Amino acid sequence: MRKLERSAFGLGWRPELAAAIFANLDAIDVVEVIADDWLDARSSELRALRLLSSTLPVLLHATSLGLASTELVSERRLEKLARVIDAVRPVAWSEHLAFVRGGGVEIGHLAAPPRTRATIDGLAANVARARAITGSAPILENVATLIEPPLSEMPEAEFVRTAIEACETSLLLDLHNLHANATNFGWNPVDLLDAVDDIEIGYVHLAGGRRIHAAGETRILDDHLHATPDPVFTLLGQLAQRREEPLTIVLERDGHYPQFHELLGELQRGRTYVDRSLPRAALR
Amino acid sequence: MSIEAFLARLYVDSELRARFLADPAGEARRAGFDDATAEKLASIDRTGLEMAAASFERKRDAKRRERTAPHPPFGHPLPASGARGNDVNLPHVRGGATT
Repeated sequence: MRKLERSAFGLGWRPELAAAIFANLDAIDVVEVIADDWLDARSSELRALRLLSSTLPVLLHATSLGLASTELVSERRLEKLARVIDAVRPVAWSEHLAFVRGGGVEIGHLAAPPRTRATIDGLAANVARARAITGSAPILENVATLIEPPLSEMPEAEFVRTAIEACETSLLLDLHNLHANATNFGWNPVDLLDAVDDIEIGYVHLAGGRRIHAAGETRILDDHLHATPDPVFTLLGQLAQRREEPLTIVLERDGHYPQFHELLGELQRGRTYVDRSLPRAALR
Repeated sequence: MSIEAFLARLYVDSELRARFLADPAGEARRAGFDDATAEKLASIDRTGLEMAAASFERKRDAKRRERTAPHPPFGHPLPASGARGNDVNLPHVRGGATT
């Protein structure tokens, strides 16, 4: 096996980017595939995805399990995911610290759960179920939210740390989600970096969003339709300074695709911020 | 009713949301929550609720459009060579313990 000495950088796999990704394999270390696109895939389609994962390291990213809930995760959904994992053999798979449905009502997207002990207990039970069915636990991602999660009893930093520890897994640290929530609700994003300082980072997300306005207030919407903003790169540099180990960093982009060289430029900028933190030991 | 069930309805049902914003504690009690929980729900982030509900609605609309206009998961034939694949060790990517 070849060991990558430096931090690895990659992109979210999107059909619109596929050709450009293949044309730039020398600049891309990893791709992250949305698992939900493949849950009902035919065997032939999964073989095609396996071909991708034999060409380039693949991370499988799930979005619809709704693990952070007091409601039990669907066994059927987990079995479908297990089929994809078995077929594709990704490096790892991930999900969100979110719920997406309740009482049979589909929200349609990731909702930040109440930051309570009950949510963490439900999450831990659901992750245990996921581990039993798929064979491994997901790396868990902090989520962006426009609403301060109702009934919350702890700050996000404490919730994320406690959740990761309860599930005995690692953290997918989405730095734009961190930037958005800290900005939206008036706290210092470094608080969360402090809280997870000794938590294993599975990998890192970069993304962009936009400011939206209502009732005289402005908040950041994590829409993955815009370039990664400066504060997110700053957070990446701060994270890299704190870590002895190299990181794996994935840029998410879900639409309004720019010229591909602009996405590669974002990856290169990320590399610059990470490399700037070397040698890490001397900077701690 | 679980809290997730109540919040899911609140996020997707504009009529429930209007009733809730007019009388949050009362609507929460009618959903079966105790007084303490109802009072906590009454202090909900109202601006955030409207923003989140609008964002979720846009997401549901986008998913409906995607379902009516599917695209292939691959936009380009896969290359047959130059493989480095999942036998490469990414730095420190590891999920939780396997079974």
